[in-house]
Amino acid sequence: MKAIETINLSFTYPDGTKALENVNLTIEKGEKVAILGPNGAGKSTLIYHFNGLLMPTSGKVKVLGREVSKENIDFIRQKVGLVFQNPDDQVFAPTVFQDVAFGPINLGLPEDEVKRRVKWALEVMELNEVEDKPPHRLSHGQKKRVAIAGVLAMHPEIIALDEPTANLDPKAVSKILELLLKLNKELNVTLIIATHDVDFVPLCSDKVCILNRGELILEGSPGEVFSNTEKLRRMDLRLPRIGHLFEILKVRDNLPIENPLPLTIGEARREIHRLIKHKASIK
Amino acid sequence: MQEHYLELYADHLGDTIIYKLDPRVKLICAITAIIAVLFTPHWQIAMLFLASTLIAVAIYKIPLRLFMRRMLYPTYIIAVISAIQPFTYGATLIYKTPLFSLPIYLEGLHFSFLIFTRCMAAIAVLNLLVITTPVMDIMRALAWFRVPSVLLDTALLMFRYIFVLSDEAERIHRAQEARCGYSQKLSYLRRLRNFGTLFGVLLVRSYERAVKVGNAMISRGYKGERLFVLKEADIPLRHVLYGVVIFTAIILLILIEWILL
Repeated sequence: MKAIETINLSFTYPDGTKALENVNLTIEKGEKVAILGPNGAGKSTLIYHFNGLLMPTSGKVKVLGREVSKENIDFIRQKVGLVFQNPDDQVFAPTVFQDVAFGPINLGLPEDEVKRRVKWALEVMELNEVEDKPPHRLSHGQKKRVAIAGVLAMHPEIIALDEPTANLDPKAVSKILELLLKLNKELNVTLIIATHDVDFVPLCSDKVCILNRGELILEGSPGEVFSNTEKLRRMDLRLPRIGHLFEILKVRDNLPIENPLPLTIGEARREIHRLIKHKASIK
Repeated sequence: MQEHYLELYADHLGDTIIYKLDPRVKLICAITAIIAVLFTPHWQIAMLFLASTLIAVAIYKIPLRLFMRRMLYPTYIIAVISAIQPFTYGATLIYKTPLFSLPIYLEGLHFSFLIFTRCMAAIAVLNLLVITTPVMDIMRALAWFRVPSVLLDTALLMFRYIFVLSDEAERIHRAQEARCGYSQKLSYLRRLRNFGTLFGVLLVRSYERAVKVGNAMISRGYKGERLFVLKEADIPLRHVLYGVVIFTAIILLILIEWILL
């Protein structure tokens, strides 16, 4: 089933800035999709459409088969959770518990159900210990997890995250990654991740969409997309470091690297093992 | 994380009764005391309240430094207001300043002292309440007394974002300083102007942040109803009793004041 579908989606800001142009994108349920693009490419604008925060200037956005409109906005906002780049913009309540309860309360759920959901969301995001703390006492990584817990408590089928790794230290990044993958695998949450963190993309996604100047340029698995090295570099993007290394090994050092280039440590390890065996077999 | 100077949370709650007393009881007692002190015509009564507060600080081992530091800023304002009084009000002239020949009146001097002691006592009481009660408890107590939720929601949002804003101000200030924005070589006016820019930027950023926070709220299904549900359990009977004792003591004091002084 299609989680999200955009049909000829265009959006122009009131000041005349064209942010999106004819974007046709399909995201299947349960997929992990990275939307990659340089700053100002329209990534945030695009994901704001998935939740009805912005309405298309022309074209359509469909969520779980229903067109986003003013009439079904409550349904859309329950189904699509939006996690903003800066958790301070999102986490507004005086305690973590109250912030996570905000969404469920807006859904009109009874009190004990709200409590149950908050406890559950905090447990999934591994935040039980900070439940009663004020947000300004948390680390940036923890605040980010609170922001995710806040949408998770609404039981969304889709979670769209804007730059989830921005301003996080390496440990916090791997924690967020671990939790996001858990959400996708165990709860079958469709993940949409808008980012320019190229190294994060092959780890967090099984599909990559490249957005540049409001247009969808490339779409495919990370392996397919990152084999278009020239196109990416023209758009002020680059390969993941590991992919870049293997590109150099292939092009300059003429090592027999198989297509597509390995992009993660795991893929690189497998490729190196293959190369060693390959060399041994030649000898 | 570094202890924030704006930190209002009574985090290290002690075991003593002043921390554990039901926030509603504390709130009622504190408000009664503040009203009593603000309307007293005698500075001695105000001093009595001030002294009792300080005694409470000593007995219940409330961090004195923290208590005093919080008294500091309001004291500046009160000092300025009280300092003006002797020049503006009264009939009995006691002195004329050599410079500008400003008159100083006896009644004004009395009044000045009265305002000063009244305000200091009121602030000390409020300070004691805030230091010994977590903000959320005070808010819950206010909600229990049917304070409109609009006010409480606003207060809680302010409480949340004052930390974010002060961090923001600090970052901007540091950025200015790093490029010599407050260098002693600059004229005072220039430095003042840079300080003004800081506030301008802060204002614009606050507005932008408000829009973003609003968007984030809408995207979680907010439709404009009350933000925070604040609920409070029943007050333990023993606490009601304490409350009645303190309340009666304050009322008695006022009555004695009326009759005797």
